[in-house]
This record gives sequence, structure tokens and C-alpha cells, in this order.
Amino acid sequence: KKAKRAKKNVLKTKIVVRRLPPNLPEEAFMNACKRWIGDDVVDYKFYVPGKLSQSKGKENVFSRAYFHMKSMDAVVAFHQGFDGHIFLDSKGTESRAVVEFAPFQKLPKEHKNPDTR
Amino acid sequence: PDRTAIVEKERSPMELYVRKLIYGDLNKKSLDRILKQLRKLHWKDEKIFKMVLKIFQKVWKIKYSNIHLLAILASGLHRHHSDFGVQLVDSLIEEIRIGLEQNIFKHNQRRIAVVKYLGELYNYRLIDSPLVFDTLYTIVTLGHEFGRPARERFCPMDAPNDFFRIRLCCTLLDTCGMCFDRGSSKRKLDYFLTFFQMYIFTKAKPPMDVDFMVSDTLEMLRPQMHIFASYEEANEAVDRMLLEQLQSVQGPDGKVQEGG
Repeated sequence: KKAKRAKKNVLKTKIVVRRLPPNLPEEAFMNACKRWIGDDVVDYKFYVPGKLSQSKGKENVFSRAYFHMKSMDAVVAFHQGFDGHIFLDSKGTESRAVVEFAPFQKLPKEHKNPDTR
Repeated sequence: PDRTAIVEKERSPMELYVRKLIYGDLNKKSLDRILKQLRKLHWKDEKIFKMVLKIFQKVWKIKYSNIHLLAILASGLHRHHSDFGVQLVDSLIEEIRIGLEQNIFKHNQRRIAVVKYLGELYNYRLIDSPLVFDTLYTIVTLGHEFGRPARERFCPMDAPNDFFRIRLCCTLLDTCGMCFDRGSSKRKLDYFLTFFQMYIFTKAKPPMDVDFMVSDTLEMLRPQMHIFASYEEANEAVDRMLLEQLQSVQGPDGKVQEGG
């Protein structure tokens, strides 16, 4: 049933880590998963900090992170090691990190000529 | 009152200027000029970059009829700042996903705006068709057991009397579905429409407006298509279709299980 998702030609090696605590600093996150994301296996990292809501009427925004791995093995290792990782904040709220293929696989490219202003 | 006065948000002149361009000036005629102005910004400055990104993410703040204009701008900026385009699309996909997970009624309009935007980004070549199909399938399957909605399995995230996901799909299909008229994307759309029909049958009887929305979309995309009469018929068709796909893929399918 998952067949429709499995791409046959290109391997999906850009992954997203979702549902991270809204107030998790980038360093704390990178520290928590540094075992799997050394420079030898990852060539693109991007962290998007979330936001704690200021009013009751709004929801928190989770933090998330994107990685591009150099090999499928690294993706599998990271998924096995980190999917479901639990973060605890000072108030005891648990957040369970989710590791998935990023739906959008493109990466930023180097621009040959920087845009002339 | 015992509440403190609401403090007005302070914005930098640069932010006020970009907001004026997007919220005030944006129309068909000013498009080129605005794109030029945006390209002149200090993109290396992280603050500016983030500020512009935020405005481009919050597509629900602009007029619905202007969404395609924002998509044109995004696409134009992506050509020179692909990190901007990539972060924008990643965020929009997340926005759609979190919308499905949280399913908060008051966000319905904004969720419609975001899928419309995604469709326009396809029309203006920032994203490709697999991402559109991926999103369509995510909309109809997220939270459903075995990645397949079924009448006999209740899904708390997407209850039988909740028709909003149907609206999301129709909006996305109305925006860019007509581009899937040849080759593999044509076939993929046929597959999806079969699946989509089955999905609709897993629901309670839809209200008339939803019903019309669906038939308008199907009529526009595939006027000749066979419309299933019952859940059983649609379900069987999906079974056959998945089997066919499995056979054509052959070999190992699913890799790491997605979702959690």
C-alpha cells in the first residue's frame, strides 16, 4: 500500500525532523543528534526554530530541522536512532520527534552570478 | 479595564516597505516593479531574509485573488535565491501537514489559501508534479490506518462527518489539475481521482455544496470519467489499481515506513 510513495529512480535523502519543542535552541537539538549528523554524512543542515504562543488563542509552532544525507544508509541509521526521540522541557512536557523523508527534495543551489542589486 | 493596552507591533522601515509592496501595491501591473524592488533587498542580511520569507509564507494575509501573483513573485525570487524558494516550499508543506494534524476549524480559510498557493507554485514552476501528488495523497490518507481510508475504520483526525479535506483536494485540483493532461502525470491524476472518489465514499453523505464542488472538479478535469456509484465499487477499483501499480513497480517497494 505504500507502493505509490516509493520512488523507484531517485532516492530520497533529504529528511525532515518534525514536532520538535517550540523553544528548543538549535544547538541543543544539534547536540542531541550529533551522533548521526556528522559532516561526513550530512551536507545540508537547516533548522527552523518554532515559537511558543503568546496568547491562549494561538497554538505553539513546533521547531523542525532539515538534513540532506549523502547516503541512504545514513538516512536509515538516523531514522532508527532518532525517530521517536523524546525531548523534555523544564515543565515536563514531552515532545516526540518524528523523522521523515522531506516531501520537497530540492536543495538550494549555488548561484553562479549573485543577483546584481 | 484590567487588561493592559495592546501594544502596537514595531516594525522596521524595511519591513513596512515590503509589507506595503505585498499587501498594498501588489497587482498585475505592478508585479514586475515589485519583483525588481524585492530583488534589490539585502538578501545577505538574515533579518531581512527571514522577514520576507515570513510575509511570503503567510499567504492567507493577502487577497485570495492575488495568490497567483505572490506565487509568480516567489518563483521569480527563487531563480536568484534558491535558498529562499526551498525554505518557502518546505514551510508551506509543513503548514499543510500541521493543519491536517491539528484540524482547527478557525484555520480552514488559511488552509485553503495555502493549498491554492501550492498549486500556483506548481503552475509557476517552483515545484514539480510529484510534490503535488504527494500532497494530494497526504491530504486523503494522513492519520488513516494502513495509509488507506476505509469506511469501517474510524479516524479521529478525519472524522466521517468532516468534509474539509475534500475541499482542500478540490482547491488544489482546481488550481493546477488541468496541467496533468498528458504522460505520466495524466495517469497519476487518473489514479488519484479513483482514490479520491473512494475516499469521498468513506465519508458520511456530503452536504450539497461539497457534492457540487466535487462534481465541478471532476467535470472540469475528466468529463468522460466513470463516476463510481457505490463505496464497494470504488473500493474494488482502488484495489485493482494498487495491485497494478505494485506489479509495475516489482521488486522492493516501501523503504522506511513514513509517519509516526
